Amino acid sequence: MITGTAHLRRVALGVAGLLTFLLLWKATESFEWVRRGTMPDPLLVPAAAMDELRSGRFLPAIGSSLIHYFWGLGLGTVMGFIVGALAATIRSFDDFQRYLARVLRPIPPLAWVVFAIAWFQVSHAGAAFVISIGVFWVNYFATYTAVQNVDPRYYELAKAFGQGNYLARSMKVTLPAAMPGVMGGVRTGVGQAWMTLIAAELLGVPGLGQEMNSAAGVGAYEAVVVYMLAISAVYALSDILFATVEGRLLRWRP
Amino acid sequence: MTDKPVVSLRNLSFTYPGATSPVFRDFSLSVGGSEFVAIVGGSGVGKSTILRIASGLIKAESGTVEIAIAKEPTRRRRALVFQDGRLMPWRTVAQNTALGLEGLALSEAEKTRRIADVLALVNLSDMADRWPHQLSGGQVQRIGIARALAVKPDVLLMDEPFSAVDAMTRRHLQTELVRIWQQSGTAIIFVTHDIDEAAFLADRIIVMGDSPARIVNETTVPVDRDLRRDSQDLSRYADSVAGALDFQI
Repeated sequence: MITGTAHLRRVALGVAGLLTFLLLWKATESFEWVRRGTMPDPLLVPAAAMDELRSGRFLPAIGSSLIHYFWGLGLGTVMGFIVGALAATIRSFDDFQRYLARVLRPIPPLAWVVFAIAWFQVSHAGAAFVISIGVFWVNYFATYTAVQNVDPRYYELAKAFGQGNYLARSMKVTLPAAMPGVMGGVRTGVGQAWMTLIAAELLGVPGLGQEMNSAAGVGAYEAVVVYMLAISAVYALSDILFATVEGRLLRWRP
Repeated sequence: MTDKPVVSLRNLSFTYPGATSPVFRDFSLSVGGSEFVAIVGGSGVGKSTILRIASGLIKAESGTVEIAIAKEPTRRRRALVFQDGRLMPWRTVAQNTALGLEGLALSEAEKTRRIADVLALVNLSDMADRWPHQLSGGQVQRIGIARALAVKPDVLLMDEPFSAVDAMTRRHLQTELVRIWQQSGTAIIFVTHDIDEAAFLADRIIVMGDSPARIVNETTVPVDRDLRRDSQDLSRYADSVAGALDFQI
């Protein structure tokens, strides 16, 4: 149990950490500890944020990013979950996909950009495709491991009470028992998708990454920071949303 | 045996995977309609394995399991109570109790009524919405019994259900089980390593021993149930069973 004083102390320490970072940042810029003109001034970031908002590019960039983010995240999560669950529960399918997974898994999502552009041009679909690959593997392995680690005593219990067929086992044991591990994978995928998204957009797909790249090209580093903070804010929001869903789904845990 | 047999295990033999000789051979046991039979024996004689075969979880190498009463779409003929209680942590008490009802030809109203009835029988009606982690060890065991009774089984198979709870709780659960058994009228096969427990609960005590295991002693306990807790006679039957077991060990 955290007391009120202890909570205040933790908040104060967190704020102190942020302020220390801002001070170091400002000092780096003021004392030119890095090459002159390449370090944005933290005090100018709010003004840059207002400029970007007024420019009419900021909100459309977020909207554009969110489109391929959700498509890529959704596709990668669903496919990773399905393939991981099937591989973990059907021995012949596991054998069938075993070597294929070993060949494809080490290829970084961004290596697929070449084919994404060839197949989908510079588009939402191309970016979503690249994002989905990274998310797929995270969810595939999380689901595979979670399903394999389901306590076999629950399968015995289900069988003893007439729930022994594949569908009943899957719905009444595998899915709920593996859910904490699966949700861990989904949460990692939510973060992974943002990382891949920005990298994919740096190659030309409209969105936050592309705006960041354009701003950097003209030396508007404060604007770059604005987009970085926007990414952070959107990620924090999606993580809070996810934590709410996860808390609801796993409310049975102590 | 008090009634016409409701379950008959005939000439069961079983060998564990990788073992060279069977754990038991030609094991036969018949249990009457509302009879309470306890099986005792040393570790490794296959007591729990017999229950698993009787429940249909595993198959015997040879022999048959016959249940006299025909299948009905609203009941299951046998139900197992596990040593560890084994509730699904992601289901509430009511949902755990409903596990065996899923797939039976019952309306939602009938399922709800059955759950309420068995939870009342084990005195846990107010726990229906709790999660398993919110229960004590004794409550977990009682929910395990309620889950088994909900399917209205002809035979209840109980695998050392009270071995993991403390002595006080065990004593309380034993008394509760006798009350529940008398109200439900279900036949019970109860595996235990506790001779006093077997003597307190059972109409008949089967002692397993030897290798491959077989029935080496069978003791009927004709003591009035209301007098059992403090009965000197009961000690005599327990001693008789202990003597048979000592001979084996």
